[in-house]
Amino acid sequence: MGPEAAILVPEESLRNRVCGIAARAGLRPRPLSSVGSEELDWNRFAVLVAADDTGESGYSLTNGHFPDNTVVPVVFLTARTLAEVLIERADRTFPSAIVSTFCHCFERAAVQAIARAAGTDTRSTEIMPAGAQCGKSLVVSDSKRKNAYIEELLAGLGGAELRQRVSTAVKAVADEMITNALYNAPTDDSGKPCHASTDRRKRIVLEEARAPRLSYAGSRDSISLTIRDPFGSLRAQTVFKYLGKALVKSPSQIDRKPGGAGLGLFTIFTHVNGLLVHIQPGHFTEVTGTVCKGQAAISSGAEYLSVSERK
Amino acid sequence: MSGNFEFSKENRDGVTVVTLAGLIDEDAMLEEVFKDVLDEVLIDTAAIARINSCGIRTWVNVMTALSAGKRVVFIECSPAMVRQFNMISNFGGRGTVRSFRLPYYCDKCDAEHEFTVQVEGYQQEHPDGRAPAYRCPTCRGPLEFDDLEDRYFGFMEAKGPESGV
Repeated sequence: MGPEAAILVPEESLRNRVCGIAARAGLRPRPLSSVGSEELDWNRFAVLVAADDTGESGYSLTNGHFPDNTVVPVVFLTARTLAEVLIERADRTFPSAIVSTFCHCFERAAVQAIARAAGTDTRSTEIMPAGAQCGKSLVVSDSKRKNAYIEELLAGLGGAELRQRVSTAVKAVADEMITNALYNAPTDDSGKPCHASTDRRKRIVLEEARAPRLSYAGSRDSISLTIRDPFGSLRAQTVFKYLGKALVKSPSQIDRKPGGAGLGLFTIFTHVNGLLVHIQPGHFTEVTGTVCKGQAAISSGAEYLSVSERK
Repeated sequence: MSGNFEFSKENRDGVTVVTLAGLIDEDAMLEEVFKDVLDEVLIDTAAIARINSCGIRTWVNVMTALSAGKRVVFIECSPAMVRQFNMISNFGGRGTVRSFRLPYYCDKCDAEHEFTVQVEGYQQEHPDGRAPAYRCPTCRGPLEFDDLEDRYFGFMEAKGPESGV
């Protein structure tokens, strides 16, 4: 028997659907009519899945009842865009995952997000799209070879056959993944960033043991890219804060100074349908972006986002 | 290594016309491109395919400085540029967009096409916010707008002719 998942979904048909998704994620769903109606021992739950179908934030369901600083991971299923939710939550604790109910692969993304948040799926985020041809990977060690890595990756994905919009998205995602992994991720033994403030025109070469690995695979419908660095210097809350800040058009939207991973993460977010981040502090950070081939452009950003950080 | 970033610059009738192409990234040297320009600058970005995060940061800094003292007009903005105008605050500094390109896709031919429209009068001609209908130059079939209509035209909202961005 798997661990228990608290399911907070008022609308019955959606609740039944979410319970089914939680069960597929290896959990025992326990539907709650409301939070606070009884003294709940939150320690017994592996995850809280909150959703409503009104277009309002599922978090409104938990207001006043569910503490913001809870240690129970929260997966939030929303009928709004992720961008709206990230902006709304900008100054509050973020959930482990957000999945938009109109996401083209909602059920698959929700199963994955719930399993990862609950810890029933501790695999790498190095996921391959359904029906993918075998994936390939390359070691990314030299910043001056960035464009060569991207060309190699595109060739491996049959770049000539891809629509320009898709190949542009793949290039954009790979570009930012490589830059962040080479410049922002590396830390010294004391955890201090090595190259975060280095001019991006200055060459960085990492020895192979410290170099990130970029993996990629494509199927008929989608392409996934994963970058894994051996540092684990990114923080889950930082991911949400970066995205929440960059999604709001304001004078402070982007830092004028060079460096920083925020704008790069935001650029990835705006080119993928799904974004998964898996961090083991001090050990590794993995970022996976999935680009759907058949969909119209993603002007408002990803439809699902999962961020897990485990000691 | 500047990828495939290219530019040309010439002075015509008191206006500096700068034409940019390819990828704007950390190696694009935008500061050099916009040195020694006249008081009016026309920037053609029809062939900009992509701009990365380093490019965005540099672009915003350069455009902010440039447009503080000169009249900056963007023409033929590519879809990659339009998306940035929609997402990034002050992306064009005080400059204005005169014309931009619309992306379309032909399912039958599996081909992408772009068409240029003028900002002036666009919202009056298309008050419903829908993209105009075009036909595929090859098969003459109807083309599908290849972006999200409710987002793509956002940069023009509440702006007059030559959208300030």
